[in-house]
Amino acid sequence: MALLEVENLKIYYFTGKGAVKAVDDISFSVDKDETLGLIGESGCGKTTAVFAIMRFAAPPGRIVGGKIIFEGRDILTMSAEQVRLLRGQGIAMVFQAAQNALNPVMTVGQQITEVINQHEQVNKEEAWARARKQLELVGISGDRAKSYPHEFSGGMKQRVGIAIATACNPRLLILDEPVTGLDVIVQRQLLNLVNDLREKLRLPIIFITHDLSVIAETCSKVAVMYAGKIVEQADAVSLYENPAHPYSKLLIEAYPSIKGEKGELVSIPGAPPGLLNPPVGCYFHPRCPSAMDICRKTEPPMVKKDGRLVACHLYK
Amino acid sequence: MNDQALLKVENLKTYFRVRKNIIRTIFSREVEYVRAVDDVSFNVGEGDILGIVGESGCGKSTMGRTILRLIEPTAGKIYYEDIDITSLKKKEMRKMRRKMQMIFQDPHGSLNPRRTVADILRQSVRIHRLADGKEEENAMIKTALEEVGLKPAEEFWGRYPILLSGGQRQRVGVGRILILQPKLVVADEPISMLDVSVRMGVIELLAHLREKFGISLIYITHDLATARYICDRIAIMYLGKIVEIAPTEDLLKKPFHPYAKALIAAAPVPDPRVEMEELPIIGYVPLIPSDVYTSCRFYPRCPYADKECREQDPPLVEVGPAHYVACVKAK
Repeated sequence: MALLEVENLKIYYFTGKGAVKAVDDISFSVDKDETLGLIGESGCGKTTAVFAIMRFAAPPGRIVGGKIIFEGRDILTMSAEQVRLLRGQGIAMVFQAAQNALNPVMTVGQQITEVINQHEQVNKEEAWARARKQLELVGISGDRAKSYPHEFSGGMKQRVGIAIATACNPRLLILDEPVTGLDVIVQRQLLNLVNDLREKLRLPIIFITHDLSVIAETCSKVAVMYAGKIVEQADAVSLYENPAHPYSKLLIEAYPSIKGEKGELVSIPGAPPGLLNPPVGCYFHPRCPSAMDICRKTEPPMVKKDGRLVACHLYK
Repeated sequence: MNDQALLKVENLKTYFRVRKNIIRTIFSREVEYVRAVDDVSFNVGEGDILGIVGESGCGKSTMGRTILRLIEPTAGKIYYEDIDITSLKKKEMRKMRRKMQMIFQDPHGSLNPRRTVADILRQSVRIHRLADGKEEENAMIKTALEEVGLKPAEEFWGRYPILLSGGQRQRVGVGRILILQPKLVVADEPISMLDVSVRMGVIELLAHLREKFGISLIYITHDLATARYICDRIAIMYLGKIVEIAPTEDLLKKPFHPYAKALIAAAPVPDPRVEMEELPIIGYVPLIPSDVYTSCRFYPRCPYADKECREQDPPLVEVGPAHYVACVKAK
């Protein structure tokens, strides 16, 4: 059994105009020593999906179906107290724009010790010693535990976010768009740090991003999301070498690179569908170059093909 | 570069005054400045696309805005078709604006949410009094919308920005300047807030405008990879200075300045089989840049820095055809 198993998860937002299927029947798993990348455009439901793993779903959003099994227990049926213990110790999350997720009126040391004190019975000195150690783990001098968030640059704040998340030795780490909004050099430094941490702490990670290169540099497994569904799941190398779903393929081709010869520009026509009235059949068919008649009528099921999962009528 | 430069920027400086301490500001004459743009010179030829690449805080947006005089320069000259626009009065400048336009970063924030697409474009036409009568106005709007790929125009005509996707909104942003037939456009991170799948569409649109109308473009970005696809030349900025400027492929294949090398090495590669390179750079952008105003801006982070780098602020020198570098080691 894998460390985390998400089965047929459905999260709908109930609005005045009808249900928005933000996450529609997705399944994936993360095992120990695995790094899963969840990639998709904005609004495809990737953040909603991991919020459910942390039990953050709030009205008008509701989990209408599915299971999230973490270490053999279903997170969705846990009591509030069990969820509190799970967060931070079992699964920890670094939020998108951690720069703004920090409390501006607390020193970073206080913010780390706060997490430690929530979960463990330790005295003050020990908590602070751990806080300093956490900062050093992410490459910040321990003496800066007394600094406030505004005294750090964007990349360093993101590091502090990771220090807080890993303070109680979680068994699974979720990073939501960790490098979005950071400069390339800072971005690279942060990815190096994440790779180091993963090896040092043997920490399985779920990466949420819209950036293919981030996934390429960190993840072993990738799930491509489009309009609330996972359209392809494969290991990173085979996805990049030979993407099966037309969306994955176009996404990779649309990504410019500065290495190697300058290739042709590719753009995907149109825009992602609104999820209130998604198209009939495959959600991608209005933008798909290989759309067939069947794509406009029925939704493709997830099929296994050369060790990967893909939801497309091209594969039977 | 064409000999006929459309835009010439000479020793442009934009400083912002900082107030450190109210008491000290009152009682002492000492004034501190942040040098957002510090002594920058370059040309843009007709139909040229120049990329300005740098990290946040390097002054690239300030420079873009200063060129259009949305921010007043502290010193230096900006020539547009040999007219020094820094000396123009407000009224005269307003006439020039038709020819010099800007595309903003945030397509959600830069369109008036209470105007329909057609009215947003109509406003541009009316401000510059380009049309005689409503019919001509409507015809112009229709052409512009179709030119930027919002086809059929009727479908988008009466829509409000909130009903458009990010890519479509950015196309409206392009359409409202295209209708003015500008000759110079400053595009400030036009795609950084768009989804990956629609980014290239907007880049293609900008390239198409250059091909069809000969519009010169200053493309401001932090992303070397997209700059590669559209720019003829790229200038790399660091803390208010251009540290290297060269034709695009030259710069990417043979970068000279250590900062340019670091930026290129750090550029993400969308391929899991490629090994990540070591980063030839130390630490972070200094939080107090005034410490490096008299030296090479980059020396505290440069792995090759020595005594000479601390003592002088290197000028741009030519190291190859149209390839200029500001580094002591470039001689």
